[in-house]
Amino acid sequence: MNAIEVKGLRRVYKATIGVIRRKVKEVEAVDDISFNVAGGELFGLLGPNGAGKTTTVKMLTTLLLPTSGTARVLGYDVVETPGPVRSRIGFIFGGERGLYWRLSGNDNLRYFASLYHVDPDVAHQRIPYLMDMVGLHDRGNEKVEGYSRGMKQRLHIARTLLHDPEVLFLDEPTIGLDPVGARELRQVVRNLQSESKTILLTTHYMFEADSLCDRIAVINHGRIVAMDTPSGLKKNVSDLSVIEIEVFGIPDEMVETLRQRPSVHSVSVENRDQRQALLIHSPLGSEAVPDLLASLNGTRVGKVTVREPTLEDAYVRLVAETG
Amino acid sequence: MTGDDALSRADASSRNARKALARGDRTNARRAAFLALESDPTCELAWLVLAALADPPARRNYLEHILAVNSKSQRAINALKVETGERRMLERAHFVSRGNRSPDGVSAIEDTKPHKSVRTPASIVAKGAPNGVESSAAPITASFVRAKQNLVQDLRVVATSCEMALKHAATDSFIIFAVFVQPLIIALLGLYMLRERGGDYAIFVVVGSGLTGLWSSLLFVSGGALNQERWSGTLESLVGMPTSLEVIVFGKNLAYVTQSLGSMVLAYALASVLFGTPLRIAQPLVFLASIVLTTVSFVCLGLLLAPMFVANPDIRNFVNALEYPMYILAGFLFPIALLPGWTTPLSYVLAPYWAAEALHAASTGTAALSNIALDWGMLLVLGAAYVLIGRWLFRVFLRKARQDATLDFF
Repeated sequence: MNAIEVKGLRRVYKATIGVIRRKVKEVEAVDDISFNVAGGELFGLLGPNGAGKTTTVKMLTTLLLPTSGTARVLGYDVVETPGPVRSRIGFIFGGERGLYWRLSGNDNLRYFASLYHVDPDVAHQRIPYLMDMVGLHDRGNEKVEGYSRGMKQRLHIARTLLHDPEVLFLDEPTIGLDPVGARELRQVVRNLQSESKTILLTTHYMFEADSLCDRIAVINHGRIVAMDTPSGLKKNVSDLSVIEIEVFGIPDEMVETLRQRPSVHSVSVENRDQRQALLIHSPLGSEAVPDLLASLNGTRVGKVTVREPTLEDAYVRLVAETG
Repeated sequence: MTGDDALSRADASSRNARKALARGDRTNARRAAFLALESDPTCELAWLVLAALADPPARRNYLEHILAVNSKSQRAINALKVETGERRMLERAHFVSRGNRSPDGVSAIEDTKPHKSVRTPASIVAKGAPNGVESSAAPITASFVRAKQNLVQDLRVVATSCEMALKHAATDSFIIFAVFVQPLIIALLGLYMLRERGGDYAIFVVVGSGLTGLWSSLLFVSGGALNQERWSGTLESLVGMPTSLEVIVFGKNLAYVTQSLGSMVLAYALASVLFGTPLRIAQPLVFLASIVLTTVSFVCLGLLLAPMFVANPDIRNFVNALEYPMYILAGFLFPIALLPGWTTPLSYVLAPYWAAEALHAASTGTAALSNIALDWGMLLVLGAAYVLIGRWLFRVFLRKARQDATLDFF
């Protein structure tokens, strides 16, 4: 049995436009997605903002009703039997919200433990253990409003583990964290993975998905455009090399000219202060560099590097192709 | 893979899971149990292992899942009983599982030798059926155990919600104003207006202004609290929990209504100072009983209001319009006999009206006990009706909120 089974899931949001002659506009946030997550697997949902990641997680955590399709968690339908699903899962939505700021960290956990029906004796032992696990053992009696963003997000992790759930939904858990905080939180996720918890993780950070996830589904405009292991996804772009050329003030027309070159598969531009970085995907690798530099005639060129494609390159290509 | 292959794979994996559990290797036990369930989702042994690995609330759910598949599963029934501390009942019904305990408290699953009763839920989970004893009473007993367990859990949630709401409210200046300051202002105005009329009117105003505090608190604080939960992102967390939202709201309302009783005490002290002598409550014990029933009925009334806040965040804009009509329709500060006749049926379906009747009568000593008993009866009947309607409204409006995506603003 798979821990999570999603079949033909759709969610349409309706919004009204206008005051007198109101029109209803339908937005397809999730459009016919299907995937399975095996028990103990760490499954990633990757996609740009508005791709439908959070909507998917909210449907799987019973907080939102699907428009059509089915989803089962540990064999329980999320619409028909939300009760058993809720007692078996834990979820966090990234950010600082979702906690009682005027209560202490310990009181927050004690309250949520009772709502998860954790026996008071068990909670009494488990709360210090979890606070220790997320590095908050010495701040447990302080009000949450005094916590940093990272501390609040770690408290979220502790909250979601109170009832020892089998399946965890982590929606962008490291969003807004500084690098050290994010690294600590990723370590917590790794530890959970080693306990064979089933985890569905959404993230924007490629290296995070690459280093943590067993499998990844790339989602764009509400549809899954690719689903594979991180190395499998990278194979999508293994026929291409990435040529990174640093330039200073390149005109848009020149970027367009580059895109037309036969040796070029795609070009994207990243602004870096006064400079721009051209990320060019090409099947020719370093052999394409002289031709590309010739096309940039008249533009001041800085560092040029040729490298193997990363998961991010695979992701950019997939998202770009599905526009 | 044929069906038989799948079953034998599930059997082998679940046995591996059991062995891993017995040697304390939780990670591999969990992994093997999942493997078994991939081949056979109904594999009881695998579910039992997962139950043994889980914390009590999740464990109970696993056991209930096993019972849903096989209502006669003795191991699941036994484990459930131990979970809820139903040992004596269990022994009377000859359901006690028997087995040896391994040093870590997790016994060998296949061990079927007779032995002394076991103590840990995990070991009960891991036991075989006790000498093949089966009984038709088992499902009934299991549902009784479950009902009792649910009640205990709900009472715990009410107590914790109440405690946390009180802690939270203690730091909120608006709540302090709505609960204490506003009723005192009303009491002060009423007392000055009726000062010439003497003792009975003073206690009438004290009780009436106290009731305004109770109602305002229920309307603004408990309704507003749900919207506050929405803003702070905790409403989604609450809805996504195994506890029913109405149980949580009941606990919170209990806190808000109870603390607003303090406003009645303050109004009493204020009136005593103004009149120079402590005011007399004619029937103190009857008054006390009426206060208790008033509190309960107000909390139940809150269950009617809260679902509307869950479904529609904009409802707060209409709340102001509901505050004063209740003061008037329920006769907090003057009798409803002064109102037009067509409003009387409206007053009769409001528990605050019967509360005001009982409290005014008990404090001034102006009614017979039989009349007050009628007020009490109406408070109980209306309270029960509010709970029933409230539960239905919660179900309907929560579904609507999940449909319309209004559980969170973001």
